[in-house]
Amino acid sequence: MEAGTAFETERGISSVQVSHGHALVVVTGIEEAALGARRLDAVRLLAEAEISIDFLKLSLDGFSLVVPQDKGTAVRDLLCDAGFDARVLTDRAILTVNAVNIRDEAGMVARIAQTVVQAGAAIESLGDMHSSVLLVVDSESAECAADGLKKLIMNGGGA
Amino acid sequence: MRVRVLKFGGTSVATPESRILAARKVIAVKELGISPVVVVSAIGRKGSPYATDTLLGLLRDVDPMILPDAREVDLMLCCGEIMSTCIFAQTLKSLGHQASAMTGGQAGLVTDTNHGDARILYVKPDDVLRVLKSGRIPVVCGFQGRSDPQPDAVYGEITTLGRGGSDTTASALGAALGAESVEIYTDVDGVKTSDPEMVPEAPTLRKMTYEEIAEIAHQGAKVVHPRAAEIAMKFGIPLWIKSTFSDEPGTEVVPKEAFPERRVTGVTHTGKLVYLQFDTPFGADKAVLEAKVYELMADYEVNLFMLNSHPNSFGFAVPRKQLSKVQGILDGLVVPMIQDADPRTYIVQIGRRGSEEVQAQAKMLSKTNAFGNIRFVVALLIENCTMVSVIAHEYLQQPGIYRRVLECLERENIQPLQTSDSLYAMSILISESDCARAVRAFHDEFELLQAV
Repeated sequence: MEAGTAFETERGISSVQVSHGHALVVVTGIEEAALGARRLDAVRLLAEAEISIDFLKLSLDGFSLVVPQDKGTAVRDLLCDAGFDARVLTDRAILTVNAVNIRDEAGMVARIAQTVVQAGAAIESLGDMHSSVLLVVDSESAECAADGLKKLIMNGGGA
Repeated sequence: MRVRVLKFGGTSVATPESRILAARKVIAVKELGISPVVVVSAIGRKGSPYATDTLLGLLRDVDPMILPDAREVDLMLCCGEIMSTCIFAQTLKSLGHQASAMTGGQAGLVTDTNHGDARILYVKPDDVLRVLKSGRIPVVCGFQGRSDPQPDAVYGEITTLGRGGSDTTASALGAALGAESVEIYTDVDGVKTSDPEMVPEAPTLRKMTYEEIAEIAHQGAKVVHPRAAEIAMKFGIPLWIKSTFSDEPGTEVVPKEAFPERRVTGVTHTGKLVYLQFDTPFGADKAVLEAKVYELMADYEVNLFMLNSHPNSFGFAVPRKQLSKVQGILDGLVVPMIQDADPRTYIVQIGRRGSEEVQAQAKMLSKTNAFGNIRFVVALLIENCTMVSVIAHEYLQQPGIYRRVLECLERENIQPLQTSDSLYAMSILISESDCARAVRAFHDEFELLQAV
């Protein structure tokens, strides 16, 4: 049950969920001149293999993405076979931090990120939508991060 | 009694001509045998003599060095809607229909005491019903309510509801009155698949889910505020977005169950952004630096977009209008790590060339050994960015969506600077100069001309 009145959900963070069973695939070492083309090669390859990807993030020499844990190794192998320098980090979790109208709450995303990092979790990716912020962290520190966020809820939800 | 709530925004009540058009919408409802309840915003938009921002400016201009109390700000802001209701009620009377102007408090909207951003606790619409039963049309101030009296007070305080306040008033009144629908009138025909300035042929969506409307607002297309959609969804009140200036049917906002198909809804773009990429050391120092930067961004209420983190870097976009604030906070920021055997201190530098602030900090710190080794964390700036988002419902999780998006950008020779995705949207950070081309390309790629 979300905190709030009969009419409106309370401002700030209202709840946190942890979903385990994800893998982060990290590709590095792409030359700057070839970055755009090689990223496109990679997403084409994965599309042809019918693999759905989430949290694609671009870095200065590559990219990272999240897939279900059971597909992590296959994705890495697929990319390595195509000449990418890819590695897979298994046991990743997605933290779903529910908070309404995040764009209206200046500083809220930063407060969530601060809380997660201070709890000892390295944020590997972040996405947001109207009702929540999604963070990819390693499974081992996910519960600590969730506890930190729950304390933030008890102190007013960061709003 | 059949009740319909009609809410008119600032442009709909800005001129005598627009008020007549709005009033005719109200009268048409009454002539159908349905009791209309009207909610109005302040007259006109930013810059207009009675608009919310103008009233706030009057108060602040008394002495820019002294911040007015939130309580007085709320009292001042409420004047705009009060004037608007009186004028609108008078307009209805001039067209032969009795009407009564009411403040939010008189209409029974009771809020918490959070001035400037109050939440509605409950609605007691007895006086609205009394007005309706007398045959008059209630014209209620949007954006405001009243709090319950504090233990040591006789009366409650006037409060304002913050962003989306008038839409929220309309939905809350609709819920409390058991209205058959809530109609939000604006200056567009409903929710378009894209910004008509970039895609002139963008069609109006006939139906959208509450979640889609909330996401499209989150990603930059503010047609109706998600707070209003949330209340309508919670109470099962049909919500419509229509134009005061046309007879087009508009957009109906429906529950997800009523429209379960997987689909792409629209393409939005979100303002002017600047991307900051911090090159950091690996390991524990990075976590300390990252947490410090986020803490300051939160304390100073900076909105972060497109946040990402890698083992030796992290980055995010900020609104361009907040860049000078961000530079003021972070440029020259000193983060000491002097507790272990290898004492060191980081100085954050915004941009490739260190500012005088950064150089002064480095010079000062290097005069003493207390801060150990001085190191710099350079944040590269990518200016003139914008975020283009494809809004979709249960669509983006399909294999191949990223391929379509990146191929589309490649065809247009547009470089993606960063990406972000969620259950409802995929966003791409690009150069602002490419925005219109990207919006049109995505609109074509996802065949949004056929959207309904």
